[in-house]
Amino acid sequence: MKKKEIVFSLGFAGFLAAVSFIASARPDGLEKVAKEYGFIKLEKSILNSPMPDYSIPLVKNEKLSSSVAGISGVLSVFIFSLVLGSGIRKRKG
Amino acid sequence: MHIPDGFLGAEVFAPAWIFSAAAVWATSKKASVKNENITILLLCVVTSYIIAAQMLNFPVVGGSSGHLIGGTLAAVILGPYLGFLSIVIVLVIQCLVFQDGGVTALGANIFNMAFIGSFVSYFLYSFLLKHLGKKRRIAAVALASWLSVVIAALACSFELALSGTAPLAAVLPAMLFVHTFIGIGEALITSMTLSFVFNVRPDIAFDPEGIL
Repeated sequence: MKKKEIVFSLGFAGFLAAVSFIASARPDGLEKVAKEYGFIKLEKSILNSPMPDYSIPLVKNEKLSSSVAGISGVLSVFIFSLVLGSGIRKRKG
Repeated sequence: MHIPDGFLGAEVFAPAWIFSAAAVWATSKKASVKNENITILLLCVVTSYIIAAQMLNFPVVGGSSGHLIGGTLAAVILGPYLGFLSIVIVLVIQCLVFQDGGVTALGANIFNMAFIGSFVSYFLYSFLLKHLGKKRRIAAVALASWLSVVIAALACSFELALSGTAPLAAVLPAMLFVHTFIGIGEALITSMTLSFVFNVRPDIAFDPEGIL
């Protein structure tokens, strides 16, 4: 991939994450079905994530909170992919 | 379709975890980032785009919403092996960082969205490509991505029913109905993205069988 292409693609991913506050707040397909059939109450969380529901608890501004969380998500998977991809290549020699 | 903790019984989530862990292990042995066009950076870029696109829920019927899964998108560009790993990366980060999808349910979520999303849709895509011809590549992409969402919803319904969370007769039609519409969103986003990619970089697409 050319440098230009990488910058453009990552910039676009970052842009989508930054505007992620425009996402529909309706329940997703599974949540909706869970509510309809009454098993939503079984939901529990056994882990305290740093950014639950794509928001940062410390940031009061909802849009900013969602943007920063979104961009952190993009950076996290970028780094994870880089590490995993390098691992695969290294092992193959 | 991220299943949270609490929806699945151990008799379902434990085997799903074992299956998915084995699939990740086997796939990372098989996956290759040494092809001319498939580089580590391409994996990074595709995975970054997918997690961002997954954040954008779009409204569908009945007061619910859906978002891209991206399995077909990843598999068409990266091939089924790296495509699978790409979605696994997204699901792991969503589970650990964003509490989107449970820890116990991670195996089932990997099975539904990464395994079906990547392997099953790649199989459908190459089958359709052979029968429709390479000129209808986008049609093959659209159909494979729509089907992968519906099949994932089917798998999810069986997991819920086997866990005793909801009767199959209730959950299966409800899940299939809403995901028929969410799948249309998946097909639209995947086709638009891949049309763009094929236009600017016609050389980027996994094609081991030389269909293209």
